[in-house]
Amino acid sequence: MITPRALGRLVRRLLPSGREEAAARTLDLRIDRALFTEVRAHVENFTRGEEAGYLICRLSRLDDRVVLLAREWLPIPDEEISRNIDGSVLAWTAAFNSDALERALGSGCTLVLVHSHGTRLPAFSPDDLDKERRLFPGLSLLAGSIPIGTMLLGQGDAVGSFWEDGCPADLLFGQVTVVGEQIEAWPAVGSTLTGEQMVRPRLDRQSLAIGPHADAALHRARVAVIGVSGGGSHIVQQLAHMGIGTLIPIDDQMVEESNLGRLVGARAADVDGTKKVEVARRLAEGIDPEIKIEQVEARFPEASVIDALKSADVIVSCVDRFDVREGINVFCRRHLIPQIDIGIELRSNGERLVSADGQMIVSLPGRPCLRCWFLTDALLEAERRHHPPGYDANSDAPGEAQVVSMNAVLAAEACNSVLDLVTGYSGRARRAAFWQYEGRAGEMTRHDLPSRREDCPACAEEGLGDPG
Amino acid sequence: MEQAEAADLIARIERAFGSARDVTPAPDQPLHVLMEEVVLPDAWSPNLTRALVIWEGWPEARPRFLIDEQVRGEGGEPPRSNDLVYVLGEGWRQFSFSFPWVGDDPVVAVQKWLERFSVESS
Repeated sequence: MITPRALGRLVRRLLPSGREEAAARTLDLRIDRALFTEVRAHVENFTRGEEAGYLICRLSRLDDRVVLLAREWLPIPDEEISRNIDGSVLAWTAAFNSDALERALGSGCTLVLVHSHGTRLPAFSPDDLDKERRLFPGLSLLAGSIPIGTMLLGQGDAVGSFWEDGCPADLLFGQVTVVGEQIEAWPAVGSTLTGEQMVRPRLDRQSLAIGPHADAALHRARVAVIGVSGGGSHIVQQLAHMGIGTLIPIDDQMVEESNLGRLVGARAADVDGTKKVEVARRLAEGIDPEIKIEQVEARFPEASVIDALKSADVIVSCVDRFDVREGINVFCRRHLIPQIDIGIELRSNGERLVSADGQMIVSLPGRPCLRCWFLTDALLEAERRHHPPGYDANSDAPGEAQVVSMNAVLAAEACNSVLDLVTGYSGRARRAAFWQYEGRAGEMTRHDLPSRREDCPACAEEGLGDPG
Repeated sequence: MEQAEAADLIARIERAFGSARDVTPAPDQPLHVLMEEVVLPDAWSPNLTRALVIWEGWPEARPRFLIDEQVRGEGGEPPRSNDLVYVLGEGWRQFSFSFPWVGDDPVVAVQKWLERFSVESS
């Protein structure tokens, strides 16, 4: 029986041409590099002929697109496959499809059939299209409104086709985003991203340093900065200079007099009258009038913040509290988004600075997260005891010690990591790591991350995306 | 918590409050119980709402109680002394509410937390 949603889609398809329709949504796939390497190793091995398999994915729904978050790879075993004489896949067993679908739907996931012809500018063959028409109407009826479909990988590009409720979905395949030391886009064939290159005159010197492809990648990048005060305001300033295309500053606070000692871009006239996100906007737009600012005047994890963060390529957290860091850490794991976290603790004996210990951490999906080692249960529990619910709203709560120039050091290193994630300028010299800062002597030391914690509660939620 | 113990706890919560299901995110995690039909006094809006109860350290410690972030009192404010926390992919509101905890009855523990909504409207 046809569902109302499916009927609606059929009616829209039958609309006379020229009739105004809503803009089509996009479907992207986000995948951790290690898993993508596993997929490619299988489908690009043509020793026996074509290979294929299913990616099991959860969903992240945004206003204008759906992002599938790859969690698991199920290659179709050779004994399940029958091939044509030319090596192309003829069929595989219905039992494999049934098991894969049961596994996916049982955990709130969907399936993406992946294969490759080993060529650039991939295109589904008549045989692929025939298989799709036989397979996906039925599978998608079982999956309901969760998109399910097929993807053909090329060499740095891809094509995809998706179904919902038994019908082709109103979803244009956008790109595969591979999240690793460098964020890599495999755009849809025909997309404007393919082979894109630009050099903005204002970034000419930067392009001389890190290459002509960097500018386009920076222009495409969407970076969220949570907390745009002491540390975050430096980051906003540098990312705007760097040519990031879209900045998402997030903060719910008003500028106070005590912020003037460290809030880059703030003016005396802003005190008690201007929100910190407005200062961020003014600062960034003053540097680059073409930058897109999508400010959110709210606090993590309010719904508006969650919605904004889901669209980011990189999230920089500049927050005071460990439990907020932990929430952002879990969010980044669930949505397979790289997180860069900065923080510094200054201690004084009342007369002079006794210690200035800071950190900048780059945390990537598939690698150790902040909860694996830094945000220990004991640390979080101690903070809960000292900062019970509502503590931050208490105007008598003492402020944290801060020095603008020490914040700047950590912020600059964080911006180097954003630049590396987006452009790969370091040639994998930076990777996911921990930078320790000792502010009195002015020492910055890079450390590899410790091992992943097997029972890490945050990593257990990796790739889960939206709730439910 | 053992599987049988968790199942018994969920069944008791469900009998007492109408809905309860296990939403524990991973096998090694403390039991997370989602209650989707929690009834609050009329002063609260919405007064039919969701709560998430995390049975960490149970029964030596009272469970952690989180309420849907939309809940507001008569003045339009959420429960006093609150924070938003990110759990299971969304924001939930936790709030301060002191009560002595001795016992091992999960229904009583949830009732105690819900008393917070009876004592005042915000």
